[in-house]
Amino acid sequence: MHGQSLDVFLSQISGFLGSYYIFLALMTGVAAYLLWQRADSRPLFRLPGVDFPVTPAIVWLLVSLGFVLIASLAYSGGPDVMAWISIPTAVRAGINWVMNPTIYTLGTLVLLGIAFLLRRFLVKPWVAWSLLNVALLLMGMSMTDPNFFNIVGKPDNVPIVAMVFLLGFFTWLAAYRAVQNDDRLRQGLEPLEKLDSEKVLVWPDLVYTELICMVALTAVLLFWAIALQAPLEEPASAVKTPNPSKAPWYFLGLQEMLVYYDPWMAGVVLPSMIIAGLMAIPYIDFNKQGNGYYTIDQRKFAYIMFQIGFLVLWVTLIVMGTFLRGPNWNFFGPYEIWDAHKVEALNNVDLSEYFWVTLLGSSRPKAADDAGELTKILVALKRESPGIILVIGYFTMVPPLLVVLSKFFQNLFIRMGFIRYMVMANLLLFMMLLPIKMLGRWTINLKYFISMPEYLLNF
Amino acid sequence: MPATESTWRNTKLLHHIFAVSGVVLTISTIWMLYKDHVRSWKTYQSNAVNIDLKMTKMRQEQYETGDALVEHNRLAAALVTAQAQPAPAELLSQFQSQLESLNKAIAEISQHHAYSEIAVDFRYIENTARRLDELAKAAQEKRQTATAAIAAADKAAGDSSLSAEDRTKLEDAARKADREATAAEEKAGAVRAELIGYLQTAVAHARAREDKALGIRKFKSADVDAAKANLDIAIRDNLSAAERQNREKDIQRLIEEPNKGLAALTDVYQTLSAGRKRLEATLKAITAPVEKAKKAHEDSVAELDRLRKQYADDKETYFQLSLQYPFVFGKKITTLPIIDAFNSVWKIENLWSEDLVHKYGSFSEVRRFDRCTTCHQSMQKSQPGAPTEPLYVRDKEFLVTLTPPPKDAPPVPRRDAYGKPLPL
Repeated sequence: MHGQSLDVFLSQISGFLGSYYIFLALMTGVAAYLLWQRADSRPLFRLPGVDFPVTPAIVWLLVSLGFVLIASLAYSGGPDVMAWISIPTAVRAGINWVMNPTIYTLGTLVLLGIAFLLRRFLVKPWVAWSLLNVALLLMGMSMTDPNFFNIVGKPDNVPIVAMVFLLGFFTWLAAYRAVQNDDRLRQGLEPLEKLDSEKVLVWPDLVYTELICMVALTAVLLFWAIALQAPLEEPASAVKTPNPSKAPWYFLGLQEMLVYYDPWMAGVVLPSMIIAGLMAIPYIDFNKQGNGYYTIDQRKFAYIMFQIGFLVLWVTLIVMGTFLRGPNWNFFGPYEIWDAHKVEALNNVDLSEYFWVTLLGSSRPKAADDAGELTKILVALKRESPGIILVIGYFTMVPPLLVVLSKFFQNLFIRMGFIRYMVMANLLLFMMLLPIKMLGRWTINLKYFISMPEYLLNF
Repeated sequence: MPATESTWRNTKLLHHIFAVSGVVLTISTIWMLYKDHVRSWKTYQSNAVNIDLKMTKMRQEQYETGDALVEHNRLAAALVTAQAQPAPAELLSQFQSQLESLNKAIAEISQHHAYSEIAVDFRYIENTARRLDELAKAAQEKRQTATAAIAAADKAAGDSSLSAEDRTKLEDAARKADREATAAEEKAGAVRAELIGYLQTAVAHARAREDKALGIRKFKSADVDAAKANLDIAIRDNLSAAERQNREKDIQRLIEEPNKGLAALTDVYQTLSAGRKRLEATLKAITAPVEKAKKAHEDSVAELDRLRKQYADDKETYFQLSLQYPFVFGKKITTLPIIDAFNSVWKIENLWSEDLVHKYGSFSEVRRFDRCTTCHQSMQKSQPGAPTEPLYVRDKEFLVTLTPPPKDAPPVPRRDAYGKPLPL
């Protein structure tokens, strides 16, 4: 794949790409068939002149035929023909130029906000199905780009691509059920889960189905292993470090955090806080509603916090680490070639430097070389005092400030009591430290709030 | 407890789905084993092994051709002839005189040490040598007669003037003469072996006395080393001069004591060793022609033995009978599916180039690896004696044009020296 001309690349992937579109055609064809089977399918509109009812089934049938047509173009393998089913070069270049960590992360956050606000519309099956097909179509059109294909088509990354779609599906499923339950609850009805609340037999209803799933999944994995073989590289050498040197996908979130935080913080403290926070949830969550059924309206705060923490601060970082971080951990657009010689003009400045040097126009306090240990510690503390005050203030002052400024947090404080409220607030503040730090790095090139490398303490 | 005994899902449908998924899993497992096991390079390696086996077999057969057999038989006959030769008289008398002088030295030594002379019956040696001379002479004459008879028979075979009966008579006479000559040689060889055996016994006795002298000397040497260490300790501990002197005297005594000191014992050992070595050298000179013929004969079959062993080692079978591990299973068992994951005889050969890199995998520069020799086996082998010529070459076709002779000028048959037409 590497170092090949575009013609050769396109002819090599034409078989796969054509089959991919055939799969999409089958998928939408099956959807059209299922819709056609449903008796309650109302026509969307009628064709003027012939009075032909255009139902959703017809629409998806046409989409399916469209995919078949695209598949035929893909099977051709010719660059001129495949240009019709590719994202235009100018658009790709524009995406590459625009894409950077700031826009990616903030964009994800904004998208999540929009998705939350418009959830009632977006969870509708036809909307979700349409979005899925658009996403798959865009991915197919992107795969004619060699740089994009090299990343998503790498056997190691294929399961991650699949997981992204699976994650989208299950997020939609949960949100859909939650919206349905919210609507039912608003009407005074019971949630859907309570309709089928009778107990069932472990065998066969639970274990037999699990066994079937295990057999089927094992077969799928075997077929997958035969079709997509792992890229075997040379034997590992202690003197050769791969570039980029990436952690497994489940640690890429932490590896991304390492860009912004000291290894102690990113690798130990923050992951420990995640686990501690998860363990603390049963003790600080006083909301008795929403147990045993999907809901958003009854657990808005928990839902939003979870989705920010999971989707934005974990999954998007994994996606970024997998697909958008290249050699030297530089950020590369989805259609950008991974050039090991690319250099970004980045500088990192500690908060203490901003305070002492930029703001006060003096040098940072420094103890004499022959000063005593206590003196050195005190001078270091003085030097980092702005950061220390900021961090202490962040953890101690912000929670009461939230109570004063927000009725919601006021209510939380009253319901939870001081200790539980402070625990919850501090856990939230720890979580928000990550995006705050990221913002600080992108905007003012902030490195550390507190930087005491002489004592291995950086925050 | 469940509300009813009825199942939540349709059990019959579950059975169908389970059956289908089970079949799919079986197919995928078999396909996985197939894809893992059936690799094109295994055929090439298997073929390469078979080609090498055939080559070894052909080389073995080369030793069974007429020329090789004739040479081997000639060397065997030369060995028998060498074994029937008389022992050189001057070497025998040299051996005897060396033995006598050794016994004389032993007699002197035994005045102070417990050594006995080497008992050798010189008359027996002389009688046996005389007997050998006679037998060797008789064998030599018989061999000459046999050689002449064989030559006559060979000549008669090409003489068309003689009748078949005469030729048969000459052949029978040649065979009989050859048998008699071989029997005479074997008889002479047996006597020679007896004589050499007796001489070797004498040498063995000399060796035993030498080893005894060495053993006695070793104990004395250990005493001297201990005394020297005591002196070193005295110097280290700064003991009195008198003590140091005493210890020096001990060392001197141990070395210089008459007949029992280290110097005396070393003399005894060296005398016995020199005597033994002289005897051995003389014996070696006596047996030199036989050893030479024996080596030539063994060398003629050594290569054949090596090829046989190589064939047995390279052969790949599923089962075998062997006293060595794994006793019953052959090498080819390791090529079976699943088992071939554990140290199979057929392997992919990865050649990693040090400085030649290319982009692969995680977009990094990795060393380029070549697996060409996995299939292209035996590329490095060359023809014997011609290191730049490949051993195995691709077969090539060439055109042979045979021009038949014209009808009015048929070809004349070739004839040998006796006028007999030679076959094509």
